[in-house]
Amino acid sequence: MDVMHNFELYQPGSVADAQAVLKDNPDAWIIAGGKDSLDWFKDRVKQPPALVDISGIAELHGITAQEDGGLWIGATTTLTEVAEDAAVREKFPMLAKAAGLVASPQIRNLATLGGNVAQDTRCVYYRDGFPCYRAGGNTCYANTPTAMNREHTMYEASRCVAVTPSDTAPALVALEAVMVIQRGSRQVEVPASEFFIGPEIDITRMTVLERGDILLGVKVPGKWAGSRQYFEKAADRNVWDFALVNVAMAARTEGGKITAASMVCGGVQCTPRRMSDVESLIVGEAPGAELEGLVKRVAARGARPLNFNHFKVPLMQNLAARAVRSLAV
Amino acid sequence: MTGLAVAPSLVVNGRPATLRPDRARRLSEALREDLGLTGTKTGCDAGDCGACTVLLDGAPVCACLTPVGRAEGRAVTTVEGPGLAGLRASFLRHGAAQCGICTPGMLMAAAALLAEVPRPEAAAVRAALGGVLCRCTGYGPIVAAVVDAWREAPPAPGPAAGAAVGAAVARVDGVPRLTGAALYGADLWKPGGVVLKAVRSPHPRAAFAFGDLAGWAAARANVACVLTADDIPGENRFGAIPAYADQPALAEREVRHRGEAVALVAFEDDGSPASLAGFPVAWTPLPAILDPAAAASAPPLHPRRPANLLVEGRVRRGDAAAALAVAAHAAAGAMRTGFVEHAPIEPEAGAAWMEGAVLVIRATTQAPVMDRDETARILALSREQVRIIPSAVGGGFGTKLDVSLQPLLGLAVLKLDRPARMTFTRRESMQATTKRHPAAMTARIGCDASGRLAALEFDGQFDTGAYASWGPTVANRVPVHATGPYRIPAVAARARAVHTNNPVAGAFRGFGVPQATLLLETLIDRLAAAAGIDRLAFRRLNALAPGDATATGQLPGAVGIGACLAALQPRWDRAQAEAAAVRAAAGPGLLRGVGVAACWYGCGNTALPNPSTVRIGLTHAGAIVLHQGATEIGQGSDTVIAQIAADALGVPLAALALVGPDTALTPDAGKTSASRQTFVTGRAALAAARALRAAVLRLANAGEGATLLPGADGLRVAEDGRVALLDLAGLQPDAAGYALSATETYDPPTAALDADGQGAPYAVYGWGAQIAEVAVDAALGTVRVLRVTAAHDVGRAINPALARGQIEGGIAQGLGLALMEEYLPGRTENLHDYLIPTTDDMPEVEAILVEVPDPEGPMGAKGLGEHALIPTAPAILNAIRDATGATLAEVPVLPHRLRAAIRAAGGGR
Ligand SMILES: Cc1cc2nc3c(=O)[nH]c(=O)nc-3n(C[C@H](O)[C@H](O)[C@H](O)COP(=O)(O)OP(=O)(O)OC[C@H]3O[C@@H](n4cnc5c(N)ncnc54)[C@H](O)[C@@H]3O)c2cc1C
Ligand code: FES
Ligand code: FES
Repeated sequence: MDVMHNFELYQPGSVADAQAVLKDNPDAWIIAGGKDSLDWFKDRVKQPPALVDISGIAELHGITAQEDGGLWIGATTTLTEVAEDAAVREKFPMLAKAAGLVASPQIRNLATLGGNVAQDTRCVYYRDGFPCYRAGGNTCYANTPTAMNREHTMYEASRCVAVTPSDTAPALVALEAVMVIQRGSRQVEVPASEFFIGPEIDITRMTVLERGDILLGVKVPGKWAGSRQYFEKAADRNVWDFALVNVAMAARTEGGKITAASMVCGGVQCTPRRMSDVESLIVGEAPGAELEGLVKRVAARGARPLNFNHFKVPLMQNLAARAVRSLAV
Repeated sequence: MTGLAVAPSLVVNGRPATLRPDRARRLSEALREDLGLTGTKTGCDAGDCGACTVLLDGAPVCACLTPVGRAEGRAVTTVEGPGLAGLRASFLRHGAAQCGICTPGMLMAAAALLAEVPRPEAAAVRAALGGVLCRCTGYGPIVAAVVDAWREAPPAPGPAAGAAVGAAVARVDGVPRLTGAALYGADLWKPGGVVLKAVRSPHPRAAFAFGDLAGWAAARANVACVLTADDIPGENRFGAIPAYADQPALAEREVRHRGEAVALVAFEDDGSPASLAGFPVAWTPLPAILDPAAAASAPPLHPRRPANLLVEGRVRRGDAAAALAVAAHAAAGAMRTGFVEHAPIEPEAGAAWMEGAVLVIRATTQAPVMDRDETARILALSREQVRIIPSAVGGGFGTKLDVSLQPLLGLAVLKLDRPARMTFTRRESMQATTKRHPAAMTARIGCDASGRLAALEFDGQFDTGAYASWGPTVANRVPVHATGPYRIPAVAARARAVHTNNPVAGAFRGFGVPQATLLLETLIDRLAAAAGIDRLAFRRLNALAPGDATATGQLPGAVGIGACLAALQPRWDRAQAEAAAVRAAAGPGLLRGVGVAACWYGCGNTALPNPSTVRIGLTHAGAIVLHQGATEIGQGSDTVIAQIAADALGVPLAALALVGPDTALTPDAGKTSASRQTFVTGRAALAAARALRAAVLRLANAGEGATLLPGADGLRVAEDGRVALLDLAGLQPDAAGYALSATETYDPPTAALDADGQGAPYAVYGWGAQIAEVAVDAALGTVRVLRVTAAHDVGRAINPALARGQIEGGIAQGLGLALMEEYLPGRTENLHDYLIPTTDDMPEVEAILVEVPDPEGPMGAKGLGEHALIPTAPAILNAIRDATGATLAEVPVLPHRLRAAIRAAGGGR
């Protein structure tokens, strides 16, 4: 029996009510599915005085078609719903696949898309409550000569070497989704590619969400609807495990040639990493063994692995090459 | 909007229920504590195990990660709920519940699936159960039970008198595990008591000093007391092997491993938060030995153990070095393994209270009598003042052989004179309990030109951690088993158990033999290749045959390895052909491979006494009562021993009333370890049953051929067409209170090992061999095990269904050892960083039961519990090498290791 700290739990019925609670309780913590949050509270690494459960707010839930052929996905739509929704599967199969590969069925039944993109990093040192940079200290425990950093970053480390664990994040960035945020009385739209932020911007957060912000949902534009899509995740265990590296790609082909491509890799940088080199390499080319060879050469350019994550370089190269191979058939 | 103060009301199992008005609590806790629905289990409180799965409006969710406020106004269904009869019956038929701790979660996940798809395919079942971990079954029987749940099969009639042995009867303890009624360690507590929490070291080695304990306690309304080593009235030492007992219940002045307990806090059991925040203890980290290779030159952790050497075991026969020098072919190599966590889904848990002058402890355990003796010594009580009644045990695999919370519970109860309960968090369970020994091994093996093994040298260093636990057993068992089930005339094998400040390494299915077998069997593949002989043929050529002596000079009573390997031959041929065809057809990248490995394993303690005693009584009303103290940890001993007793008595299985382990009621049947219960306790049961039968026949003045007919109104004896009701009423009660009873002890005959390890260490050996077929994704370094074919010689399959269950479960753990399990202190202290196989990781399993009866075993039976996991990991490594050419010298074979090995073997990027 693991007795939890006593929280105040608020269950507002509307975004306005939620905002009111958040205003009165500046240190309150939003929970949607609670799947990431309750883990944090367990060992009392974090102890907010109050929780605001937004799962009952109808306006935040559900999937609707957009005029541009894209979809609106409310923030509290569960991962099961995203994975099983007919429209998502038809238009954005890689998002459905990414959502369906998160954790376990039980978790996907309550975990939300908003919570999945807003979840905190899994760096074990940080989760264990070590006073690292991200936690307000002045050391990175994951980047010492003996630290275990298999899971950590290879790009753009800035004091902190943690990565976002979200599987849906690379898919949303690749699909050029837009995150819609309620900030005070304003609605702010942030492209997914800018929603996730690295330690050089703010080491205490993984996203642009500020205290009091509510993510309303995600607009997935029609641009990539029905395109050729690919998502694959490499992990230590076949299922129910966080990715070591994952790759998400949307592309279009015509006459045997790739005409447009958007590729993003997760698990290699604090934020999902856009594979611009690969994109510009493959557009205009025909998929095949030769192109795959070239893709492998550029995919991990500039990577600066830590002591124990060199193996992520070939993972990244091979996943990128495989995504391209999927366009051959 | 609803805030804190309103009590949530919901519908639980069709009935309205109101919970305590604390809306952020875990639903799992509220169900268990407020409503007493303890069928919902908790194994992690983190979404990592799925044991807590309940249905929320029909959808499976983790109750541990669901705040009760979320369930407001909704329907919650738990294992105690309606509509599960068909599933339960199917689970029982298929032996899908072993220890049963995962069963409620499995049933709920399955029920949700069946509500949508009444006749699901296996793949759909696997996906639906993918969020519940099982550590016992290997999932196969569970998936089969769900696939088959739609079928209305009438319950099979029990076997007739004399036909229980050999029948796949359902477990006698099965039903309560399927209804949620079985009470595990965390399910038993008395109201009005205290909840205990331990203060544990964050350092591998440190001195410590307490601050103002009284002040800290006084400032907290819900702290009943703080206890430290100073409060321990008796000898503050425990240890599985009395001569080596060295582990304090609460550390004194210095901690020797991360997670060691220094103090115990008793909180009021009233739902108030049991927080150790601000506990006044100051740590001074001390230089710690973390690398066993450095242990020899470091100052000893324990007096009288120079060079930090706990025990060195050896076996020497012939001149191995000389034989290797002239061998036609030789192979040499090294293998490293890491700490492996048992990860029973039930963490350590239990409760204790006083009954008169007797301290009663109900906790999860594999060794009740040892628990009693050690707890009594620590608390300065007599044995009679401590009564251990094991709770239902949610998985053990060796870790629950050592005492854990028993002395702590007892200490608090004695101090406060109030009931107490304690449940380890998953993190505590991982930090504080024993692990499989990490091994660093080297070996050389050689054969002659025709492929006959000539010699083996083996050297293993086993990191035994901070305390002795079962380290001596590992050091002694490994050299004896170093040769595998092969005839090797010249052997030099040694194994050292070395102290470090790492977690305590203890007993884990196989006691070091799985590690040693990884090295031996991978070398044998290389040797077979050098000799140009097919790998299975090479093993068949060298397998021990009846009349061959082992490396300790013993002639085993029955040798089944040849039969096991022969049984694999057609499967081997098929698998080889299939892999070749796939290789020819497949594109680059996806690689197929096939591997084989064999094992043998001595049942019972190594050259030490390990008796079991069983009593069978006949009451004055004519009821037959079997007292057997073997602790059921899911392996099936309750059932198997009853089957043996029923047949020996000549009555139907259903006629036996069973009294399980209880140190006040049941004679000592030793511990559930070393694959000894079926063999040793089975033999004792056989003897007791025969003795009682003889006594009954004497009383009835009937001959050996007479039939016993138990009935509701008494016991009848039939002979030559005459049936007579036995008149028992007039008999004086015997010492055990029965009209008639028989108590018999069996201790396996062994002969001590001399300085060269020569002797007869075990009375009975079990044998086995397995084929693994794998697909390797070389680009990502991932492996999928497609199929495992396992042939095991069990002597006599007392219960074939249970035997198959042990094999499938062993394979799952062997797969984990090979591919994913590695415990790193401070890094993998939960079940998402420490990975164990899920439904989706499991291969198709074919289990072949080979029966070469052993004259010493009950009805020929041998042990099996540990054997099944020994060949799995090496067979997988051999299959990976077959697929990729990569030689692996370290497990688990995680993607980064496999990628590196493929690179080293010259494979592509
Ligand atoms: C055992 C386990 C395995 C897992 N495996 C994976 C995996 O393989 N892949 C993967 O991607 N993830 C994985 N996760 C993480 C899991 O997917 C996320 O924890 C989950 O998706 C979070 O969703 P939630 O709704 O439960 O989030 P919550 O825990 O409710 O919230 C997470 C965070 O987001 C914030 N938040 C949520 N919604 C909003 C909103 N609308 N506006 C503003 N802030 C918001 C919360 O304040 C909190 O900080 C795993 C988690 C567990 C427990
Ligand atoms: S207890 Fe809830 S998932 Fe383990
Ligand atoms: S039966 Fe599944 S964990 Fe024991």
